[in-house]
Amino acid sequence: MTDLRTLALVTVIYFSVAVQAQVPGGVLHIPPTGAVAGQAVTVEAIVEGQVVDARLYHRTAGSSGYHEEDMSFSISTWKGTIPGNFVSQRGLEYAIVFTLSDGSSIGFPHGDAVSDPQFVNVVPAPTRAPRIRQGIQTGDSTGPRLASQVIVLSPGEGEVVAQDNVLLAVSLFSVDGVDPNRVRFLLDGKDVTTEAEVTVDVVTYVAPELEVGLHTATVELTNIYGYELEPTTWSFMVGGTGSQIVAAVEEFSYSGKLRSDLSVNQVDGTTLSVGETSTTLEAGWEWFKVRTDIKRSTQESPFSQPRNRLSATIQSSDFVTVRLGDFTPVLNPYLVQGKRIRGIGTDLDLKWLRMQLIKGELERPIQGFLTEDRSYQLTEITTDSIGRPKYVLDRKGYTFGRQYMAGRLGLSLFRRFHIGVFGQKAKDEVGSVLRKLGSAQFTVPDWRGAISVAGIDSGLYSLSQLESALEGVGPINLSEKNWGGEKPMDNLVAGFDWGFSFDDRRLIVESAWAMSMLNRDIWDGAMNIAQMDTSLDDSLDGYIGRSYDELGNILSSGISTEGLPNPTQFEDIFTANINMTPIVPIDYQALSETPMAAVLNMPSSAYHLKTRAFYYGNTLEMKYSQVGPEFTSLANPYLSSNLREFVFSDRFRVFDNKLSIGYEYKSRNNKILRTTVDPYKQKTNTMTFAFAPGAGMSSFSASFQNVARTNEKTSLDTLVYTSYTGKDSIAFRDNRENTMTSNRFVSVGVPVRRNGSSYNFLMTYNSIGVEDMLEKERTSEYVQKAANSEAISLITSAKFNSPLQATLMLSRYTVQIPMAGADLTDSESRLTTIGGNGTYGLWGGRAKLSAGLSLLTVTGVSQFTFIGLNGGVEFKPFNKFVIRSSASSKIKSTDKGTEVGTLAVKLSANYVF
Amino acid sequence: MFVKQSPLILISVLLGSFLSAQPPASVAVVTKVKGNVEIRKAVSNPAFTPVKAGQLLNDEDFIRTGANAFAVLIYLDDKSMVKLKGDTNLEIRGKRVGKALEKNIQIIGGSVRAVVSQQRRGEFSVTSPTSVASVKGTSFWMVTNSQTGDAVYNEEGVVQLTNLTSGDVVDLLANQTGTSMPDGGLSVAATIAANVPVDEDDSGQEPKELRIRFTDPDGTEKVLIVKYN
Repeated sequence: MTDLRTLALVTVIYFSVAVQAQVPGGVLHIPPTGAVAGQAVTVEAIVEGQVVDARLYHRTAGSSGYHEEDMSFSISTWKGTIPGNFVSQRGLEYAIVFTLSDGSSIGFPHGDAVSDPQFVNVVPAPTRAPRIRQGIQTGDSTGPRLASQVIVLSPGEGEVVAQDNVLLAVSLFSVDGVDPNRVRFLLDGKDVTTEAEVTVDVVTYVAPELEVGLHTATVELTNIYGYELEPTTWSFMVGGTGSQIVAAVEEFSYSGKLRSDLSVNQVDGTTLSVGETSTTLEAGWEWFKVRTDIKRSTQESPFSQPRNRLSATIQSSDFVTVRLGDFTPVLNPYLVQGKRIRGIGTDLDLKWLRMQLIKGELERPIQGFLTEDRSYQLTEITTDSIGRPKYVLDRKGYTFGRQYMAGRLGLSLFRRFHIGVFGQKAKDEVGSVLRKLGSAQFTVPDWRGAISVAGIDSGLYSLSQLESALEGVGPINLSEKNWGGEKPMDNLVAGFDWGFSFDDRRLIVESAWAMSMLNRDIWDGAMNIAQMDTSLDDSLDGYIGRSYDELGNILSSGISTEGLPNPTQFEDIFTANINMTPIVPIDYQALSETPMAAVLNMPSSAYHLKTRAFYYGNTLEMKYSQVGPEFTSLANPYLSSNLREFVFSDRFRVFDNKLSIGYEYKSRNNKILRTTVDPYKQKTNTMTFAFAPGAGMSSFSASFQNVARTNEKTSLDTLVYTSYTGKDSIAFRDNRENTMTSNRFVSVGVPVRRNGSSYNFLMTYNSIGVEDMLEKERTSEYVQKAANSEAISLITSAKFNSPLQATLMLSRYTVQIPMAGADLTDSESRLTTIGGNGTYGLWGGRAKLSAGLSLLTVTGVSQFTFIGLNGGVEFKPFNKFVIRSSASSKIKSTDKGTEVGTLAVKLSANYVF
Repeated sequence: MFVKQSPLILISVLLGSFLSAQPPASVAVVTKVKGNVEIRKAVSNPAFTPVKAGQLLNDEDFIRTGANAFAVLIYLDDKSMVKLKGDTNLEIRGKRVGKALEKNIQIIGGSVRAVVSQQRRGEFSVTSPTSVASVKGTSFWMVTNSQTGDAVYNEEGVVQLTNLTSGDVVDLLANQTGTSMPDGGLSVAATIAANVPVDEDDSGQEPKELRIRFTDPDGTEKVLIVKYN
């Protein structure tokens, strides 16, 4: 079972690690051909250029927002890991974005990576044999969990019982359809199911003798349809005989992890070393826990957002959680999702009432690089009123500190109905960026080309040097505000959510609505009543938007300013001025014609309505959602706006979850506003099959997806140019879109056991083909945007009787990237990889030696060969301490010659206590 | 006609066979046992066998406790609890109706304390040869003697006490004692504390307590009570 999982994981890793493709855009990355539900996915990429920030954005397919992970640089490669709890059978979408030292960004997929992320098929986790699972399951399930109606009979919560023959009993009387063969009973984390008596009505276990102190019992259930139910956990005390006092200090427990990594990479003569140390410490009692995480990175820099992490989580029972330092809050996708906050977050959950509050810093202020022309630009040399040379500077390259505050208040009634209100405020601190950076350098051009009076010599100056040089010569003009760099912003989002469930959460309805207010430039603060009056028209007449004809007759009435609040009085809440969006939240004309549609289609609103049902092995889901083109949350910049989507899906599981068949229909468009020009429409049909009969048996999964995408454009755009001679010329641009994309994925896994050794064979095939339905009507200059690709791989892993483990991988990846004037077959690159890795254990597993060799040959448009060598050693001086060391090199061979591309050494030490 | 009905008959026979083959559903579990406590299962074995904690009880199982023995049983649907003192003989009844049990204790003799959760369906009743005590949700003691009749000590809520001979009915309020005689007599008086049986769970060595306050599940406070002797 474990082997199968490992094998699948190896597939993912190998595909992304061993193979390197030459693709445009400066990012070398091959997406994984598949992933396994619940298991982490590691992606790797090589970037051309100096990277200052590398982020991996990921989400469950179909979700609105992203979670983001920092990528780390190791062995000449950027690595990022998507945690297993985000990998579900609904599929995975991710995007990689690199920010380069010149301020530009590149990413994968190429183009707008975040708007059009890479999709990864996710196959179900291999079947777990009952009664052999170890350790407490802590919510890492990837499927939905139904409410459980378990009744704890004995001992009661907090009850004090004697040491001997303690009866633990829970009633399943009110739980429908319990599968007694899949009940799991744990006492203090130890699985005691085999010693327990389990029936469809009750689970009992008699503990022979328990130690004095606090004990925790957990019962985990799965119903006959294969759905997991919420686990039931309770605690009780065991008192000793005589006069033993159970001191709380005896129940105190702690654990921790210390990890330190150092990598040194040499790429084309440039050496880059990265060090990172992380410490996790968890301590407390079952009912009161404190966890701290500290990460220190040598990549921490005042010129980028923090890489170091410092956080503490304090949890009292399940009711109060306080987070301090760096944390990733989850409130509502329309507020914040996947974004790190540095501050404080509190979560009071009384089951019927929940209050979540967050306050902190969303972005820290960055003053900007001090190097040439990064923080200042000399825009103009002119003369002042008395004829002296005046040097006009502009400030740029900075990031404002962004303060953040958010909250949600939720009410739950009868465990069936819940309603909540939420809101957030994110505002840039104008004063967080310094106007003067004395040592920041910029180029001063020769004054002779601009003014007639003598200035200073041209050259590279710092601000301090310029101030000194201009003493007695002329002034420096550096504005107090309205700099050329980014503008300070203010953002408000407010909304509500509600939902209800029936039939023990088998039928769930959820909905949320939110509206945003965004001010893109608050340099000048809030406007007053007079400025509001003239915000949409030029007449200071007490009406906003009132228009007149030439004779002064009123054409449109507008909105009276009388009675409207003065925005300056509410500046602490929101800075309202002409730069805000929306100025008018609703289309008044549409409101009079179709009021309901006008409200629903407010451009700055977002909403969704979702229903889920779990019946007879089916997981049915239907969702309608819309995010208006002007809806903005600064705490979730990855929420796709201007998007309307309808999704219907069903996953049918039979034979104890061994066979699952899924179907999904998704329709999306951006025709929210009546004024949208050439809206696109995209319809996706996906069928998935997965068959995993059990541990140690062959498994099969497949998915077939068709994506039809069109826009309403039926003719070519015409561009008319007028040359300086006055002669007109016409050009045509083909912006019509009508494509059909087919994505096919098949995976077969075969485990074999022979003579005490186990072998696993995994074959995967993935092809993506894009057909242009208008191909016959296109001109030869037209370049299709999407690329066709095909990948096939065979991975064999073996665990021998001896301490030897080996993996062999063969793969071929073919990609056709459309290029102007070239046939698709002429724009094809073929990447063939063969690689092997071996690990040998020594001294009873206290040490391991590993070595590997890979060969990548690329033919077609790009032609080169990579030879990869790697080796490593792992040593455990004692059980909880591990030291690892590895070295690798990649040798690149092209028609120009052979050279060592990269050389990397990595050291790491782990200590767990 | 027979041919037309034969599938229906066949299904009925198969369904009947299937249902009759199902093991009897459990209605309660014994959680505490002290001294000699025995059970006579309703279906399988007519002989009495010793009871251990964790013993599952079915409808119509019969339990008897020896002198100075003690037992606690809990119904599975709502945690209603019945405590048996020594020298008690009773039959446990529980019929599944929907998602609840209709519960009844047929007591021949002895003393029981019923701690009854709010009933979702019907009433919880204790029936003796002399009387029936029924409640919706409360706790009370019932001491039964076939010669002298029954004494019902109500601790909280309302207990309806019916004399089966005369048919007379009284409602017992908290701290009231009802006496039901074999001759049909039924009377109510204030409870004399000394007469109330002692709960073995609460008696004897009262544990001392060490209280540590934390967040309570209800949102106010959670108190960890460490008890020691």
